[in-house]
Amino acid sequence: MDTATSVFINGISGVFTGIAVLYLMMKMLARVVGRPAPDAPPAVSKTD
Amino acid sequence: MAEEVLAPLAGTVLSVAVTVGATVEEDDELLVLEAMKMETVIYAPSEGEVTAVLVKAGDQVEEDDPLATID
Amino acid sequence: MAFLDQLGILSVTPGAVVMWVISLTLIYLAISKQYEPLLLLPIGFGILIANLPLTGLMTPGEGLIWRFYHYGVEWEVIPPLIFLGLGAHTDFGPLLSQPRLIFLGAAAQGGVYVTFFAAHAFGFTLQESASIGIIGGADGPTAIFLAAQLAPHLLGACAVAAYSYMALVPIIQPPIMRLLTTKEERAIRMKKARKVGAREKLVFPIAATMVIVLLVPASAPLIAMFMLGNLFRESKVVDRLTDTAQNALMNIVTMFLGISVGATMSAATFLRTDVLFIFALGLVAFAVSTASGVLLAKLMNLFTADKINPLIGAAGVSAVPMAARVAHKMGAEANKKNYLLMFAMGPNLSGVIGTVIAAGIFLTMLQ
Repeated sequence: MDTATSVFINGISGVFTGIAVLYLMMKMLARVVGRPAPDAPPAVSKTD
Repeated sequence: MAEEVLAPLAGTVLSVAVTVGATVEEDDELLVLEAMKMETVIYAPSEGEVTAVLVKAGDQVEEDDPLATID
Repeated sequence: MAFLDQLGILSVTPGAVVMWVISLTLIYLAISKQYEPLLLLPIGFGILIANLPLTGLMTPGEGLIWRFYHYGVEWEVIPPLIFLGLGAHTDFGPLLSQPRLIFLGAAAQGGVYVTFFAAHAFGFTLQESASIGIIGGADGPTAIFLAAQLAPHLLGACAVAAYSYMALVPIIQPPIMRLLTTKEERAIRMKKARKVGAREKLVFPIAATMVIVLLVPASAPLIAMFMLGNLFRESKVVDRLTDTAQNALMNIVTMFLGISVGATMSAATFLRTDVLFIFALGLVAFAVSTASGVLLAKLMNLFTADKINPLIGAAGVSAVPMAARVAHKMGAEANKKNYLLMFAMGPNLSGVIGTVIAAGIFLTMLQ
């Protein structure tokens, strides 16, 4: 039962952590790259 | 004041239930869109007269494309 | 006489006949009721031919279907290729425009873990329980990917359970969704989401791959292929490759996947009480996942002014796009002007990612 509980807890926290990091990435992405006009060609080809 | 009816999702127009000049009540059926193999009925957002119908059956629409105007 | 000895018909066992009936039932459901026909039709036929005696089709090292199975499934080639095709089909716009919905896909993995625990309590090994639990992720290729590595003897049953319940989502989900929500909640119209630029959709697959694989390396085969397919699509410069990934490639590997998985279901591996438990637990997995997705949405509503329609939480059960359609239909029933489909795609897609992460973690801990 012990390993099962450990897998259970690791699993759920792992999924939420992974998703949370993805969430933060998506928010950052929106701030850095987001633009209101979807098809406007970018003036420079690199974002960094 | 004219109100534009915008497409709430992207899809294909299956059928249009009203013509220019028709009077509609709020929640009357205006047209049917197909999106992801599912039929969605678009209802009139308010009452009034249909002043323009901008799509016909078979047209592809994107989200927020104008479908019709109601006065 | 030698001729009589090699007559297949004299070697038929009662178990084989039962499998024939199951096979024909699946084929019927696929064709007549259109239950996930792309998978259930070849699976059904694979079951049939694997249960015709003396064919040698599944003889290790030699059989034709064994070769498809060994090189495609056991070597974990086909499920990632299916993900390549799925990624090429996927538009992450709905998810990117409302990032908070991604948590609903995470919550909907609840059924995976509850079922994992329950299966283990019923006596299944940890590896078997993980393969059964992942059915709740409603993601066929991921379930096959995981079961092939952790519990290959249960692969057929888990796959058939997963695809059958995916087809039954319009029947399984609504009662649970209705039970857990009020009519007012179901009528919630969600605020229009912002438009997502092409650049965002282009960078997302690259960034997502790095994030997920750095956190859960074992998920790489599935996530990398998924995001590569998505990158093909969003780059808009490799239309030939996108088209192939979306169509020809998907179709080819789907054929081989179906028939290989079906052919693992010989009477000996399938006609056991274990399998009944798997089907029962798989249903539990779907039900609990539906509930946990809806419940998290309700919880999130306590903390936000822009209310989420809790129905879309159920779309975290990543049967794409069936679960999104179910959420949309129920929303429209409660409020004619509700158009939840695009909103529901957010959780629907994040559920796919969530299931892959869950599978990666199972693999890391149980292999």
